[in-house]
Amino acid sequence: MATRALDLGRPSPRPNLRGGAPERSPRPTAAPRPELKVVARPRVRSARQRRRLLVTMCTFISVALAFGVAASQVFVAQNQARIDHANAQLKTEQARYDDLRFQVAELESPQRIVAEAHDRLGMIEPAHVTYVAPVASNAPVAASSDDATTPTWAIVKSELATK
Amino acid sequence: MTTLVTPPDARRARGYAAAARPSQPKRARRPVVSDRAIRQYQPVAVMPSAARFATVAAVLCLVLAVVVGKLVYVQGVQHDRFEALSVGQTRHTFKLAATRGSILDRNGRDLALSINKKTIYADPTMVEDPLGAARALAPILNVDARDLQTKLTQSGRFVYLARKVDDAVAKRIADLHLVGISTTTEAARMRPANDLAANLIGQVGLDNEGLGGLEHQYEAELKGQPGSISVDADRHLNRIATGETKVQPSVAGDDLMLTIDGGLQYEAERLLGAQITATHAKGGLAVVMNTATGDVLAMANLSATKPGGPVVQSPRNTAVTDVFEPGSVNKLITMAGAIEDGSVHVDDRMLVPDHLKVGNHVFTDHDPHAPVTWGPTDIMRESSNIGTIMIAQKLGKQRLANYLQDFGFGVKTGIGFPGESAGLLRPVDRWYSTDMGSIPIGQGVSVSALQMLAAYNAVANGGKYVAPRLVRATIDGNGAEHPVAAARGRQAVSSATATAVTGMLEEVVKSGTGTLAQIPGYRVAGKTGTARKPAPGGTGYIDGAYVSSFAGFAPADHPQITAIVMLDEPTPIFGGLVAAPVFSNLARAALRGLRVPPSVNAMAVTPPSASVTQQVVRGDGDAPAGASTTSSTAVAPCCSQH
Repeated sequence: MATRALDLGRPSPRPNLRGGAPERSPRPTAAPRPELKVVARPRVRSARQRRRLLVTMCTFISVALAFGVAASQVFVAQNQARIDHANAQLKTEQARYDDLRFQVAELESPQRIVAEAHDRLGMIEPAHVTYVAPVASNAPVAASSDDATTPTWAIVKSELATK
Repeated sequence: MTTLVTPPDARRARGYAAAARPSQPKRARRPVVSDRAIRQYQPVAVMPSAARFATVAAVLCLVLAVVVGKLVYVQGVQHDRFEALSVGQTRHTFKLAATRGSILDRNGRDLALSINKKTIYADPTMVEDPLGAARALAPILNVDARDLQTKLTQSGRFVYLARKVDDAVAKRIADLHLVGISTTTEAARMRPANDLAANLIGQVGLDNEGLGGLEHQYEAELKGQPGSISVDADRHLNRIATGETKVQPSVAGDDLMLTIDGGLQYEAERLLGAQITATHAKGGLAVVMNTATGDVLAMANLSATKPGGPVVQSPRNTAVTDVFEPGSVNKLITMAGAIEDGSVHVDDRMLVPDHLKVGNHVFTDHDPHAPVTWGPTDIMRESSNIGTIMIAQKLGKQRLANYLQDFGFGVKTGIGFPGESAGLLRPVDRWYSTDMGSIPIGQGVSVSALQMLAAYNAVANGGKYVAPRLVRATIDGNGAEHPVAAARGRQAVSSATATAVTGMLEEVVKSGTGTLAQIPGYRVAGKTGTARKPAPGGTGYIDGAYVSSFAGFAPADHPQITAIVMLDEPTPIFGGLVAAPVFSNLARAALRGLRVPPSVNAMAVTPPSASVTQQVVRGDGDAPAGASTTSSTAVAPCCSQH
């Protein structure tokens, strides 16, 4: 039984159904070969090589970008944390400054000073004050001090009358 | 395009793909297909690999197009909407409160400032045991546990438990570690000098808004501009570190530097409080002003909780907001106007009786006396009502009214204090027939203490009226000081008139009704006043109720300070007895503080005691002492009433 072999992998416009070796065309007469010489290998990359290089570079760049983004995020987060910390410290110091300012104002208040003078230092208001009043001759004259008895209007008026 | 394929048995053995693939190594094992098998099968249309690739690519492109389309839709067409949705979920904006400016005295000492305090709040939905939490918090916050429990069980997610508590209290609460109870920070207004000048400074509300006094008047300058901070955070308010942060910083309010001297303010309140207690007065006020600039150096307003009882800050700044009939201190205006107008000369002499009928009313002097020949200085020194009315009649009604206005009566001083009163000065055409008797001596006209002080200050300042002011400068957030421009002064009377009147006022203190105002080493000019208090409703006067006052300046030869002291219903009633001593001590403290050297040839006398209990009272409305020893409460008023 005759069989036919079908070469599906290499379709031929003229399949050989009879079998046997195909006829060969006569070999042309060999031309004289040119002299071989060593030439420099062309540096032109093939398309495949270029694709491979492109893919490699893209991959590398992508990975680098991904790491860069991650690193920048970490950098931003770290700086944000530092800023937050600085802000918190600033608030703390500001509050401390305000407290100290308030304490200073309290310490400077006349009420506290008088109270301290009275209560802690035992100071009292003077009962009598002597004033030195200047006169025309510029000679200091000691004014009289408070007497035990309060001067009445009559006393003051009589004193004024002598002036 | 079609192609031949192997029969099913062959494909069963190899698989279609392997059979169709033109693979060289597999060619050797390629099966031999029989003719029958070939004849049994028809050619089948199969998509070549390029077409399949194109199809898959097309599908992928379609999917990609859908994705891109959605992307464009989300990011482009509906960008704003989706951005708003996103922001609404992650963006949280918080208000940054502006720090309220401080209020300083003229020396830069804090009178009021804001510091941060802790506020305790709760999220009722988070509190697991409201009763237990309330019982734990109540003794620390010093509030009723049931009130706290009510707050902790109410609806909503926020409720204040206590605002602006001390740090120690906040720490005790934090140590309880109660779930749902938290603390935050709020600025609290503090007064390091306690109640010093409290009614002048005013109050702020819980949210730090000015409610009264200078806090309210300068609200715009003090409050500053609040800012905001927007951060990206999750639903638990945990900040997203890489999220966007927008900060609109708050601008702190300006500081307010007052003209008030804290030390002198304290002295004014101390002296005034002691005298209010000693005289069993209802209250009183004292104001000290820098003569040249109009700067108010001290403004004390006190009232007694009961006669002779503890003295506290008045609820308002009565020196500015309240008016009174000035009484004899008003004679300064009448006299200055008459001298300025030329109606009266300093050397003129006139026969002054002890009573005079004006309209349908008879006015009298405080003491009956035979007609006596007095000059203007004598009239001022003796505080003669009749002599003053006679001079006013020479001046005339219209010109008297003009001079009252020139000295600032009937209009606000321009200090701008909330609730300032303009006083009451009726137009001339509405004067009663008796007004030419009452107004020259300070009745039928109402002024604030500050208005009267400004009038005296005009005389002290060579006749030039300067508006009083309370704020010296504002200080911005950078520390730059911006002085508040003083109002332009105006010449109320000439310098010569002011000098003449000053001499008269000096005589009042030297030998008249105001001797208790003397300051050892300094020449003092001033005038006493004892005025009846009008009855509510505007008709008549309250029996036995007087306002006693003293207004003056020192040193008389080169005035540096002007001051007024008033006491409300003191005992005794006379301004020369109760107000003049306070003036003396207060002016002395002011002159010492300003380092004003003593006057050459000034009286070298002992300062009269401020104690009024030992004074002997003359039957004189303004006289400090005299021969008679009548009881102060039995002394008849010097002036008539409408």
